[in-house]
Amino acid sequence: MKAMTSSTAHWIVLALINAACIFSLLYSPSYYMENISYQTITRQWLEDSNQLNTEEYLTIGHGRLTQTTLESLNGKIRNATISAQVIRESNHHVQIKIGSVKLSQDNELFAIEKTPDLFFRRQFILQEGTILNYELLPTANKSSVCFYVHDVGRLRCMNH
Amino acid sequence: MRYAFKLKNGAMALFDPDTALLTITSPHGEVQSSTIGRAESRLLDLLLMEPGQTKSREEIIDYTWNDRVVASGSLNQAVFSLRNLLNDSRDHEILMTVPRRGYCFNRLYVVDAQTDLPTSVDTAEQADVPAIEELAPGANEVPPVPAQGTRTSTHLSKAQLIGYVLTLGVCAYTGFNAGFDTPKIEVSSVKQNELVIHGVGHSVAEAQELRDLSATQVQKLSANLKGEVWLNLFKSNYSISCIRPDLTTANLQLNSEQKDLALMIRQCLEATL
Repeated sequence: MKAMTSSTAHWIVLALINAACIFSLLYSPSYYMENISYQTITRQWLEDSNQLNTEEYLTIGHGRLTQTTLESLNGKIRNATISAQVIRESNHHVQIKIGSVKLSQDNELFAIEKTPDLFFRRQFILQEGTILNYELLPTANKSSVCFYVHDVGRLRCMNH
Repeated sequence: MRYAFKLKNGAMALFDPDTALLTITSPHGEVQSSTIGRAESRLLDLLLMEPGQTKSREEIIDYTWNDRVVASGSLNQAVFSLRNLLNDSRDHEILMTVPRRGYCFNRLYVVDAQTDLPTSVDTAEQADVPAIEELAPGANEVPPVPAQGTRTSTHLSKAQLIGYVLTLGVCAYTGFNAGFDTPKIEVSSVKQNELVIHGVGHSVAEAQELRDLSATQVQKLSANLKGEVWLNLFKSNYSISCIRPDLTTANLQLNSEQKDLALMIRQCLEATL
């Protein structure tokens, strides 16, 4: 009887630990909604006072992140699509690895010699295999997502 | 119904009375199965039905040989053979002789056949061991030696051990996912009427400084701005991200010397880009 009680206690402890772990894995309220296309517009003032305008679209879900950017500068347009694999994820962190990059044209729209810092950051992002760390910031409403990309110091808010 | 019991050398035995199959698993995992003789099988079956209960010689003979008339020596021979099979021929600790009364199977060696069995024989609590009396007439076995010491079931079964290993894996995976090592950003917020300003920095002080700077500048605008604004300063470049009252978003990036911060916040919240 004593042995049986001890065995039962072991199983109960195991069940409780596993239940707690699985619960914390499943119940991780994320700051974004999966498979929802978020979008935003961005304006960037370059060193030469030109305005680089972009439309950005972002989807995260099923272990993948896809970001499409359509940028325009002085009437010229270029688009880029980045596909990445979500390597690790918690409720406020997403770590991705860039899998593929598709560009409508290789040349940047802006003068890279005047904005070298932006150029180098883009080179980093547009490289397959690059790992980026997104930190999600809590927002007041569910339809928006804000995040900070640590590796390139990029802050974004997007809505769907 | 199958019976499971321990043997003294750390082995485990499983006995199926229907097929008379006795399976012995050594502590090293070697499995040895053998079909034992009918008399030994019936004897073991009877004793295992009620372990710890003494069965008289007559009762055993009736059950084992089904009312056939057999000599007393047949039972002795069956007991002898069974003890040899159970490696119990020396001290009769498992198949015990109860002087003047008969035989019993030491119930401390019996384990639940439905559960996984410990891989080693522990000593068990010495309880309900039949009293040793004088030798029964005609019985020439050595009197049983009671179990020594105490037997506790503190050993984990194989299944429990696997369970703990798997649990460890689940916990490690959970921990790995919950807080993987990433740089942490600090956010410091302030609410001004219907506008919430969040300073975002790599330290609390940096975030607070940015928050206070923008809050002061927005106050000077004396405009009733609404929505949420996030600000970050990265290598002399401001990033301003905002959620407008209509829940659309906009982002501005500018050099800290290029534009007035308050005007940029206003543009982010109100202007059509």
